[in-house]
Amino acid sequence: MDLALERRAFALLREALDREPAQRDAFVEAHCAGDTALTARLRELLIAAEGSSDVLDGSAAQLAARLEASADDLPAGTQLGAWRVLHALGRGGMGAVYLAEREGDGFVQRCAVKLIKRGMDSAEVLARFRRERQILARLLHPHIARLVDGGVSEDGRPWLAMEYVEGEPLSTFAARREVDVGARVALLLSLADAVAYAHRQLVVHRDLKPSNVLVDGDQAPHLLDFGIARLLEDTEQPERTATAARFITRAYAAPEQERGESAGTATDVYQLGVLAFELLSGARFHGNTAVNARPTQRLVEARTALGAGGPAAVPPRALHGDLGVIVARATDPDPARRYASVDAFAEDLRRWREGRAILARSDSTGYRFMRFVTRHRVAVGAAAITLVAILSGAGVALWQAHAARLATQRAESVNGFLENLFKSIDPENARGRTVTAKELVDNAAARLGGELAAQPAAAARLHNVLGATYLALGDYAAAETQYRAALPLFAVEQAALAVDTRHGLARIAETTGRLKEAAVLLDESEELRRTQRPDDVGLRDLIVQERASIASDSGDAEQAAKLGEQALASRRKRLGDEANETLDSEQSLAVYRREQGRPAEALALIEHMIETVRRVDGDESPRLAPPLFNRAVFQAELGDYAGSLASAEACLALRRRILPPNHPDIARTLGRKAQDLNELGRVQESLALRAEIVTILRAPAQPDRDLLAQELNNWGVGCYRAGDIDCAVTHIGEALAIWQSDLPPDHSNVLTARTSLAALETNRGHLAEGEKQLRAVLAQREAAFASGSNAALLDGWLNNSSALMANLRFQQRSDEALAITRAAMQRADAGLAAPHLQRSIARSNNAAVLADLGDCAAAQPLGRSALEEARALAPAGALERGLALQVLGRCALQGNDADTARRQLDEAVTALAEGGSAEHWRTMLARAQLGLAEAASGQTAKARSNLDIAIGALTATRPWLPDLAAFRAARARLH
Amino acid sequence: MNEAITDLLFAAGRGDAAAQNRLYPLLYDELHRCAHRQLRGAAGDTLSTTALVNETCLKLLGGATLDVSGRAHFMALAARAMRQVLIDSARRNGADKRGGFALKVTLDPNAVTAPDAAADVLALDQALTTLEQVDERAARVVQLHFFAGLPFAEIAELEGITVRTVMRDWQAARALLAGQLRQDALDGSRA
Repeated sequence: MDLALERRAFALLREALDREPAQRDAFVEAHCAGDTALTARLRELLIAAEGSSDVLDGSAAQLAARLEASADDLPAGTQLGAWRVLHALGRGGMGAVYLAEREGDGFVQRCAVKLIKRGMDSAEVLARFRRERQILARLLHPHIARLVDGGVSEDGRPWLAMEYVEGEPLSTFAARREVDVGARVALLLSLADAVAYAHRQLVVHRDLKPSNVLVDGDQAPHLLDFGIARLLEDTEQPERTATAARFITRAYAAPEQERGESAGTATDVYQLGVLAFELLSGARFHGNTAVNARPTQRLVEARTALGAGGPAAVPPRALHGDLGVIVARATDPDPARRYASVDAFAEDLRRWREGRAILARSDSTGYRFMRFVTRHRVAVGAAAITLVAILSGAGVALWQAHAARLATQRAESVNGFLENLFKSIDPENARGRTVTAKELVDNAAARLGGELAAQPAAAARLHNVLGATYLALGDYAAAETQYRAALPLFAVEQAALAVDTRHGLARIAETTGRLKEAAVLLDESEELRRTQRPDDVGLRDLIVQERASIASDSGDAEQAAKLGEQALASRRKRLGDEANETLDSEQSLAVYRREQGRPAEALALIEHMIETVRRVDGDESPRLAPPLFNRAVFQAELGDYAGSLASAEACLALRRRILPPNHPDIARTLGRKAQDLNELGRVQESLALRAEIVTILRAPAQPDRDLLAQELNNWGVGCYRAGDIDCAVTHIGEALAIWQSDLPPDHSNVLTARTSLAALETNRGHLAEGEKQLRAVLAQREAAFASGSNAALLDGWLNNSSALMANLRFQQRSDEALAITRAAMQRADAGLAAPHLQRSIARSNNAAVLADLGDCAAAQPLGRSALEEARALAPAGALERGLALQVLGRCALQGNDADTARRQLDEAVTALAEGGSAEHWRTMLARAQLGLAEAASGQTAKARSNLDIAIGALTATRPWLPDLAAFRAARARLH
Repeated sequence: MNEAITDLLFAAGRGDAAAQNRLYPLLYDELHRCAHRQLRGAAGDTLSTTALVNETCLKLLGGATLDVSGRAHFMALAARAMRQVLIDSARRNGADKRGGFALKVTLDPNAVTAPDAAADVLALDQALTTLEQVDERAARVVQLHFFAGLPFAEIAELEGITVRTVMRDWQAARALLAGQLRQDALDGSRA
């Protein structure tokens, strides 16, 4: 070895690694100055820098463990269950792998047997091993190495026999020069398919590294060791889903795994992302020097760095653009920002392959949360309006004068005065002076820089106040600027105020969807509070309230409610019923109750709150607007559409007085009103209103896209209910387009809109297409269920499954529909408190399917209970009553009790017409069934009339309906 | 805690070579015992290098703390000891096999040799010795990071250099070592 050459090369290597990958070639040229040996050696080293190394990417401890394990090799011929060991194949972190075979009836089967090493065979582990082997054995997928057999060796160690796959490890395959991008992406999609399949079976891999993927001769991947990590986990670990340190290969672990946190589907997404990176670029992911580049550029940079050392069939330009984005999103260190599911990841890969725009490009921090219900904070600190009038002219001058003349203590009192001033400009208090307020605040903010430069403490305080005011005005960017300006100005003595700043920032983070950041900032605030202001229980309660809010945003309704209760109780006790804070908590808790699926309680809370505000502030108080809106929502959920309409109109009246005419809150309230009108059967009025809403929402230069999509969707639904399918398809289609470009593909809005469109397809008779779409959406919702349920999820799932059931019935596959309706009923019962319209519908659906299959004995009790539940919510629930009566009527007819059937179906028709419309196909169907009942009880004239009307209507709108044949036949018999 | 060891530690921390030499075997023994205990432990908990070294540190140091310079010496010793533990283990393993290091077949028909831990350790040791001749500081960084499990920030503090420098040293050293290991494997000199 030429030591001098090595030294020079090494020194240059260090410098070269300091450069961007793209500049390294130039560097080499420049510094090697024609010395071919040096150039070659340096190039060699640079390539090695990008490659992977099993040894060095691990730790000495792992090396030690491997050493220890290799001392345990089994000799050939050892028997493990029915399997005879032939020879060792290799060694992993969990134990050695041997090739083994067993003989059967005229065949010899081979498999790879993994013998778990000593130390992992505690009684706990063995028990778990036995229990859960079943689950893994059921993973049957072409790309998952099947678990064939398993057992415990004589010396008490567990072993697993897996399908023997002849193939090369993924890293070797990746290094192949001739495999192009298309083939690599195809392989990735197969992998993603396998992982997604396993996720649906609720099995997570957690150790997706290249050595766990073998590629066979057909370039098909095979995943090894699925779920083994969990299988062998020591159950004494308190974190049920945390992966013990031993099972992590450091170079491929997701950041949360390294921290010891729960490993879930997001971890698999991360690891798939890492695999994708390495497979596509041929370079190592962890510690790659391309880490200096922007995340979306890392893929192409890594490939570029390899130069000629990388796969020839994948030139760097093949990795430009969206592939880099996909990989970046999958490997985001924050699990919440990654693809929410492996399916979503695969979806984007497919889109790339088809040349379509991928969905990951939307800024994940910009995702808007759909809020049907506002959590507008009750304004704090009411000051007289007159102050505004006086000070909007002279205020700044007054302050200027004071600041020049007074000492710091007096300046503080001026600040206090100003604080009140600014707080008085909260929109709900200003009653129409929003524009003026903003100008004033902007003015103050501008002057703040110069005037108070010498008084950092006062400036910091004022920054805080301005931040709070901007926040109330909805200008988050400006608010954040103010808060961040405040932070560095705090001297140690003033640290107490830093709590407020952090708190303000936490609010902003929450509002812009950065939930994790918000939670952290809140925790910091609370800690600061404990040391700086231990007696400030007001702030403590406020922080608890904020935490509840974040829990709610994150979908954890139970936690939100628990914290919300806490905050409310404390505030009530300290401040009484009428304090702003108490009212704020009361309103928030109402919202969380609703999210928990307890709308009746939500309503009670909000009623109490409204009553209190009325008592304190009078009937015209702007503070009534948000709770009135919420009340409308809760009433609607309980089916009280008339009440909801009244609340919405009251809210609208108030808001029109306070807010500018195109304010989104007005549009939102109008939307609620339109919804109520629709439910009350005032369909035309409802539709007219919808058009107006959408016009309002489209007006601004930067429309609130989420809200616009929401209203478009609702408009479409309104059209559908009115029977105008084309209108429905147009508007829902547009809503879907907006949501698809702004949200991840498994977002509930996207799913809801797709479900609606699927239902419309069904409507038009494209049943197979409708079924396909419905199943796809249902699968997404099902996956979401695995990580926790809330009222919104459940609602979506129930609607979805109801639509699928209807679809299957139309295809005369009621037997398949039965399982679905059963599951729906169970879920509805578990997730919703009685009485609830969804529970009633679930029962009616189940009963209908049972009736289809001829089992009226089972259907009738269900129908009766559905009817009762719907009646309990009267005057709402007309549609639901109708559905229940319809089933009961059918069964009565089947049981030859024509009179009862007639009565019930007659009532059904009335109810369905009331809840939907008289022309709706469902009403017509019931009408036809009524006709059958009338024919059976001898009322021929009526029967003829009803059948004629119904058959005519159904032939026009749903000619493919299977029941039509029977109706026609019956009609024919009446001549 | 053993007074003698504390004295040794402080002396070693002050650069006393004799003390260092006497401390080394103690450290080695302790590490060795630790490693065995952990690998065969009931909990079967695989160790992280850092935990291993820290446990040793804690035991030996008891309540005493070392200053930066003392800590630097200690860590260097710990790393050396760890390396030696592995080498000795590997040699023992190798010696037990019939005909030296047996060639093991993998699932990869194209691979020349199986991942053989013992061979890897020895190859690494050799490569590291080469690195020591090429760039001493980089070799120290590797020892501290890989064998003692220290994070870059701590290594920077101990060596009195910037974190960036440590990272560069590591990346460059890693490249050289990885290249060496791969070359060894391809040579198939272990057949």
